[in-house]
Amino acid sequence: EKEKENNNNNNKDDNIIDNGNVVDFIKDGIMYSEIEASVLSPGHYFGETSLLNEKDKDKDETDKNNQSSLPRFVCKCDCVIFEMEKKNIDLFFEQVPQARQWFDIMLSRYNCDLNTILQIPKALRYFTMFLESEFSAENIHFYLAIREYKKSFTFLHQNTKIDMANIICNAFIADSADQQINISGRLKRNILRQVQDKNITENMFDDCLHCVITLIERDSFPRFKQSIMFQQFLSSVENFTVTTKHDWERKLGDENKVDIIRRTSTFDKLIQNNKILERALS
Amino acid sequence: MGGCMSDSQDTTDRNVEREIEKDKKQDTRAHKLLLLGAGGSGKSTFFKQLKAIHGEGHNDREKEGFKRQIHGQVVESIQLLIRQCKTVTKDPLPGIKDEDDEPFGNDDLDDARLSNSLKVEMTETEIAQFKIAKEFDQSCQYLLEIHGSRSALTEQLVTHVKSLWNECPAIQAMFEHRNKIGIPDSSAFFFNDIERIGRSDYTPDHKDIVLARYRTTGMTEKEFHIKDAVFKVLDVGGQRNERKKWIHFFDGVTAVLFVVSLTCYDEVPFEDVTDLAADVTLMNSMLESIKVFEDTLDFECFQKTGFILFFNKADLMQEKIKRVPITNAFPNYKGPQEFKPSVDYISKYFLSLNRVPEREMLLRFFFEYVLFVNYW
Repeated sequence: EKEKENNNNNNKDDNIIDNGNVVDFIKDGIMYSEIEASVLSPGHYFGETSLLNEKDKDKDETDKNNQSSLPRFVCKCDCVIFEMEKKNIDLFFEQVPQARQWFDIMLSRYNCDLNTILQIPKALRYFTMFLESEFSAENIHFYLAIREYKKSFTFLHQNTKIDMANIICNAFIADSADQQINISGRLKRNILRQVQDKNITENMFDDCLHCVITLIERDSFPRFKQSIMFQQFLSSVENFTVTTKHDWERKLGDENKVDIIRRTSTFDKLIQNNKILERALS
Repeated sequence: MGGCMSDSQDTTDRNVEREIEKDKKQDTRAHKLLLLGAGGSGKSTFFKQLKAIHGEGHNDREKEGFKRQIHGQVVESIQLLIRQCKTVTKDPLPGIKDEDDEPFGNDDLDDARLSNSLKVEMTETEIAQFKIAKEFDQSCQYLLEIHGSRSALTEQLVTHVKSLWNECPAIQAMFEHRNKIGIPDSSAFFFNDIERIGRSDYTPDHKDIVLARYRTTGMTEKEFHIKDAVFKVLDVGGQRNERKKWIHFFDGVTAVLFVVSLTCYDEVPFEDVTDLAADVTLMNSMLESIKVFEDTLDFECFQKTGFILFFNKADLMQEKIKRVPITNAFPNYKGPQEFKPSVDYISKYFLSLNRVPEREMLLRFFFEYVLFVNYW
């Protein structure tokens, strides 16, 4: 078995630390650090942390002086490895904003913010499950209802808008509402009056939504991050591979027979990958 | 990155089931204590105290959460103070839209609860004291533009809050009316300590954590091991919408810990908060508390359940009683406007609401951040 060494930090272009790799081993590969930490197979990647960490200059300096502590990656067989520069991945994130949130979660883990969780359907499912266990799921249901309301607002007929606003009020705002939300008397009165006057606007619920989001953020969300459900969500994220061996083989054709090929990964390749990412996100 | 295990809903479900099984087993040996009370009475504060004294305390991640809560409280309180001043004096600030406040004095035709009889008229001179001087315009604008949920305390923010809080009489005057506009008492403490709280290496200490005030939604539970006994304490939200959920927690309760804020007899409940015109004799959290207590006592499943009544914020009460008599909420009170007789009257009043003589009723008093723990 032929061993090829690929030190993550020595084979870099100029912006060493900012730079990471998307790695692909065509055949089963093994990744070593000084102690064998884990085995990477097609679709895995490494070094992604430095891609996403926003310019932490002090830390970069320490890293440079401290190269020995960084993991070494060793190929156990013929591999194809793609390299991705930070400026490219930033471009990619501009085009596919959900992917940014997805990576945010993987890297920030316990420090991720509420907005990230709300944008990712799978994370939202876990969070909703948690809120149900705490009897405060009405907050997230309200959030989703308003999101839907605002998304469809411009396409709706005036009467439908009034109906929708009425439905939201009866479900979440009025005192008789099954899922009444925890907002101040002032906000409640304003909304109810506005609906009664048929004065329907796209942003009429924004203040209520802000009130509810703040409540979630201050009260439930910190507990969610301490909960078993958040841990389960994180482990389900971590065990997900971005692509499959099959996908890569199809894309690469004959090239997969060659020795280690290092290329600066093009933006296009990651965009193709986006299809798979999207699947992961939904 | 680990192996290629796919995400499986089944695993999740099984784990959750296992958790529930485990919970059920614990249920049989733990005493279930239910914290109830109207909004803002101090249930979660009590819960935090328990955690600090009998639990494992608050870990770094939780402290990070409290830090955000405190920062948020500071920003929201100062924003609310500015907005209310601006609204009352009909003083628009360029570039800022009035978010949720309609102009003061706009009659609510549809809302019977707020008919004119509930409103207190203010004279011109009274209104004038809320006028924020021109020199603070920049601070006001800066602070109002901050989006509430992203409110790390920057150096600039600290400077603006400090100048408004310490040098602007209108803000101080408005803070005196905090009972009507839903600003927590503890905001004063955080305003005074703004420099310490705004430091980049700030970590909230025990007192900060206990004084941090935010509404609770839904229910959280926590187990405490005190001597040989296991207590499972449930903390819930207290606003009207939250009370609709209480019925789900009533099963198998050993004792109800009912929390009453002594000082709430001139505070407008969050659910009713409108503006300065609110008449606190007709709408205050003490009346709300009494109603909630009566309703709770009446529940069929609580007929044999012991109640512990906690009267909270005794320290603040000692100050407030000098300014405001309890006749706000108890028009029949004829005693002197002093701490001891007033508190006695309130506690006796609550006890008298119990119509089941054999039910065990205990009374306790505690201060906002000093908890006496020898009642078990």
